[in-house]
Amino acid sequence: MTVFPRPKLALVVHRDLAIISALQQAFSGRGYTVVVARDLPLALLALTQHHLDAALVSSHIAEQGDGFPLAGIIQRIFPEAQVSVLARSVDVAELLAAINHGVRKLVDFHSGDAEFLVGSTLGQSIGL
Amino acid sequence: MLPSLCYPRNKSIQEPLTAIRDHSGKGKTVLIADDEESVLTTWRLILERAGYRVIPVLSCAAGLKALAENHPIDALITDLHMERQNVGLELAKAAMEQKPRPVVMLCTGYADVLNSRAALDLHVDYMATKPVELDELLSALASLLARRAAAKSVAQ
Repeated sequence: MTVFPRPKLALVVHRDLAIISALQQAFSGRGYTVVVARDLPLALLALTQHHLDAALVSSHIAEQGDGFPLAGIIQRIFPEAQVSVLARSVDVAELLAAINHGVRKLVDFHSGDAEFLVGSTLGQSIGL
Repeated sequence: MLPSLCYPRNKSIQEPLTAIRDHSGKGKTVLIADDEESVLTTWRLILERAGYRVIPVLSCAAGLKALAENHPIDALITDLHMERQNVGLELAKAAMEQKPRPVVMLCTGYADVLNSRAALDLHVDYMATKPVELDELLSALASLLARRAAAKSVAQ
């Protein structure tokens, strides 16, 4: 019997459709099937329906900072997954929020294009 | 008329007592490193009253020695600046290499982007800025230890 490998799956959570599209393209280029969510309920629903290998979550979904607990939950449910929070600025408060929610990677939105941000999430390029 | 015996609630006194009552350490061992003796003594008293076994040390070097000599350590709470700036990160790193890995928490009055980034990259469990909110830190310690115990029981 031929066993087909499970396709790699990434979740992108962001309010901005243009950013979602660019990140989706970057993940797809690396062989990932991409699930997208523009709000917390949809993101939480995705966690119940998919096995995630990677996730890139905006730090600001409905309000500033609400992406950190979501990313922490994703990391806890899928400990092997590559999970990053995408922040518009990386300051001490954002870094402490990441640490204290169990997030392992914080990526600065301004540090590069979608290819770079996805590469940083997957550990394929140097993060900040 | 007799004076009222209902004094206003004193927040600063009540909160630590609430914290101590609500977070039982149940014999877990906590290594705590801070170069300020008064801070260390305060932490030792608070954690012991919460049921933890406490190993207090005044430097990173003493912390490294304590890590090597005491097994297992369930949690490390360390200051960042002791003998040198950010030397607490070395102690955190050494603790995180232990098996089983203890919960690692940092407390500092000098958090900046560089040391916070280094802490994130190390994957420490918690980082607080001084003055530390006692109840919050004890809650975090208790929940991180509980999470660790739950993960261990699932693995078995």
